Amino acid sequence: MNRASHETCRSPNPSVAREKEELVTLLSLPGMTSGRLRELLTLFGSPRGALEAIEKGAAEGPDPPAAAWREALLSPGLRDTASRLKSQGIGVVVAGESGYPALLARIYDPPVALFYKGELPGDSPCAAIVGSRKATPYGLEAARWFAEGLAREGVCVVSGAAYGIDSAAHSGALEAGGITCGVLGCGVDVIYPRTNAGLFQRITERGCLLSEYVPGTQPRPHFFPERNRIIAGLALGVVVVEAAERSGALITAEFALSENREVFAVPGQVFSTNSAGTHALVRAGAALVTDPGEVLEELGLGEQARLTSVEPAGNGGATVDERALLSALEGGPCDVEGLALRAGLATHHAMASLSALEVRGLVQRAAGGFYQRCGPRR
Amino acid sequence: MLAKLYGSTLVGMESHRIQVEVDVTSGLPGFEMVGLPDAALKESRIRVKSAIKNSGFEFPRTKVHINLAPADVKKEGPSFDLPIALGILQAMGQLRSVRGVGFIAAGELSLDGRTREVTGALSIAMGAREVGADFVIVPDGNTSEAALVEGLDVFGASSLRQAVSFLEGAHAEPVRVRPEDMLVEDLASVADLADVRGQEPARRALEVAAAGGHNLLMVGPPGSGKTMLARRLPGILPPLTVAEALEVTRIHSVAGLVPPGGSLVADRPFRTPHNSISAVGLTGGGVPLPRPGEVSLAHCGVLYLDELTLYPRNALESLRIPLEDRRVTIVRSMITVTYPSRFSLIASMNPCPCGYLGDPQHECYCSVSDILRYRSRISGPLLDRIDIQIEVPRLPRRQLMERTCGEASASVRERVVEARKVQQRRFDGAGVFSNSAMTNAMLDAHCRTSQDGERFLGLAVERLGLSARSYHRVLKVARTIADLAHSERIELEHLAEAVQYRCLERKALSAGVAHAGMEKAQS
Repeated sequence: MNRASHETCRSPNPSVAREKEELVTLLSLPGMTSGRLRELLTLFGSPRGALEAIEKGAAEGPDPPAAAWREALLSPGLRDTASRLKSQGIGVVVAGESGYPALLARIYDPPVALFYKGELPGDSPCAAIVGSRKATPYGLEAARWFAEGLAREGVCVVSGAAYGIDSAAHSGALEAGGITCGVLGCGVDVIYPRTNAGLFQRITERGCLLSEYVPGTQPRPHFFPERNRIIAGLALGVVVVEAAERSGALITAEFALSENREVFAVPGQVFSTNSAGTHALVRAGAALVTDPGEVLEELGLGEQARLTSVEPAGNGGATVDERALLSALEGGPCDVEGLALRAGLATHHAMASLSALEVRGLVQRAAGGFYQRCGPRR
Repeated sequence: MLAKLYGSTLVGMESHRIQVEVDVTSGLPGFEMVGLPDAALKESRIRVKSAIKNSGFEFPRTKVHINLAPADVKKEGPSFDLPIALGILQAMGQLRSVRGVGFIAAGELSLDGRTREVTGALSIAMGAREVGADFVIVPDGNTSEAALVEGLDVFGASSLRQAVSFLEGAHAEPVRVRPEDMLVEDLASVADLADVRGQEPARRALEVAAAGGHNLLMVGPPGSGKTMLARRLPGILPPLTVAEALEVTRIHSVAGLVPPGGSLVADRPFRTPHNSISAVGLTGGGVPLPRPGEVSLAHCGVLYLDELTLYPRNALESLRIPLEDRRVTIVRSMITVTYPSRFSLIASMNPCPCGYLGDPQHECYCSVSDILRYRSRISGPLLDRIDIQIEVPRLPRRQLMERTCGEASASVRERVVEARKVQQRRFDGAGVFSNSAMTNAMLDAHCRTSQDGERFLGLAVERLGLSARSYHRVLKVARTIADLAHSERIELEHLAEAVQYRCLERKALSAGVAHAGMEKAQS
């Protein structure tokens, strides 16, 4: 596997290295976006030309005006961004360079530069797993399972490093010993959400965090839909695990469709608003998947897809009470009292058995005190 | 002429005998009082003067000096009206006591000479017995409370005039009250568990909480019945013992919560302070003398905090020490008082800001960070002191009607009483009353479990994301569950049930939320 590394920072060709520094400088200007930068580059031919034009006041940005850009350029510090990055272990790869993800380069508006921590996936095939931040235990379990299945086959699992499905996907890939890539809606040195700090650390150790935003950029609401195009752009296909009707995961799926990538939907319960979006995707023609093997096959990555339906985890060693509870759960999620009634148990006995089942990973407890059966456990 | 009598002032729950010296001396008419009197006491001049005149006595037309000794103790409240008035009358020769001066008088005076009830009558009487007073005179409305003290004669006075004639030898019988006879619960006023439809797990949690003296947090959407359940806890707690009832009465009396004519507080207190309460209101304090706070008023009973997240952060944090030490010591520059605060904390909160997380019928619109922020209002150390944390689901009406009404409080209480007896034997002489108060050493001694149990707990900590601290909480709760099941040893099933009572820590409470929490724990 030939992965891009920090070495790309120090390009052998000094003129290329200088051009990259100039690009970083341009990107550091307030309000600069990839799209705007590309316009400037077309207008002025090269990064150097664009910088000079701004210094002269010739390049008129819509907002902030050229004056602000010029002022920013003159401020000390802006021009040393490149060297600052090196000291922080942040790599930069610009469009057209060898380490730049090939698939991403093909989208409509690829980022002019990517900032990253860790190692870029390089030639590894990528698949994205996205979904709701406020996921159900079922969704988390599914995301984890798909991530593990894909990662074990050498697929780099791409996601957004947010709460919920994203976190489960990254953790699943890491636990399977695979690589994973978190695409952020802020600078790669900014930890957002804060509570994911541990996960971020583990991702950089075994994969990479990347972003098109200059390090230090704080998250803004409109950055997240923008970064979703990168998630979709990096991946051969996007697996949507749980998505409500108007959610970021659907935006990612839409980007994927418009870039001709595969879109997979993991079904959920018909009552679950958390799966309304995924079901809408299926209705619109997305492939319904219930096994990571199916994803691998569709993407042309697995030799033999395991098109078997999910086998429920074995009831090995379950007591009579536990078996009664498990069969009571076949009817769908239920509160403890309802389960005890269905299984014909005293409540406190049902509670004890549920703990035992939960510890063995056969049932899960969702918000509100409702229990449900678990997905397959490895 | 000089007269010396005794009054009494409260310092926390204790009373101090105070000597009231009255000197009616020559000079221009005037009334001087020394010895650190507070505002209410300084104003007694007006009340005493009118009361004396309106009782048909004469108020001195010369100078009156009053000294309250010892001079360095702050004296508070209007209970000195009666001894001051009696002292003036004695100093002027209008009262010739045949019953000596070794008594303590306490009572506020009305302008017409009638007496009014004072706070802390029980403490005053207890203090009087300690210093060996001959008898006490208190207003009529305080007699049945003061007479709870055995071995002390308590006489009532409805007016200054009556007090004078009693002291001059009129016949009167001391009031006799047996605390045992007063210990009659008002069961009609306590809500019964039988009225609750469904909610079996929560009912069971209440039973375990009552049996082991554990604190309880209920998490559930609005309308799930959290308050209804909490109100039923006092009814399943064991009846108050005489000693407990006397302690509760003392605190309530000091706080002025015993109604005129009232006697022993026979019901377990159920306190529900509003969430606008301050830290001082909760733990006690105030000037000049610190009053008991809600934690002490809930002593031997229940402190119910509804919507826990709405209480000021510092008020919640101030609960930590009373929860741990089971008493509050209030230290002020001039004074230090201690109130007991052995109470059961019952708290409720919504699962998220909108309240509908996990509700099958309502969509929850809170973002994950909103939920995390909401939960973080309750600090880890406070949460650690709440042994039982349960979720109370809100069921659709149709499903709810299918559920049956449960056992009545009386039969649950029988089991609780049995379990408490087991604990009493276990902790005999150890200064601990319930499983919840076990120290770590006691945990090792009394909470041994089977190998299976050990293995299960290890797995539960690992798989369900229980913290190391909650390990001990689970053991304590399991001990109580075993006690309820008359089991000497903690079996696997007891532990397994106890694990159910740690919902706020578990991975799956709200998947995404708890998941993020896990990441935090690992970082």
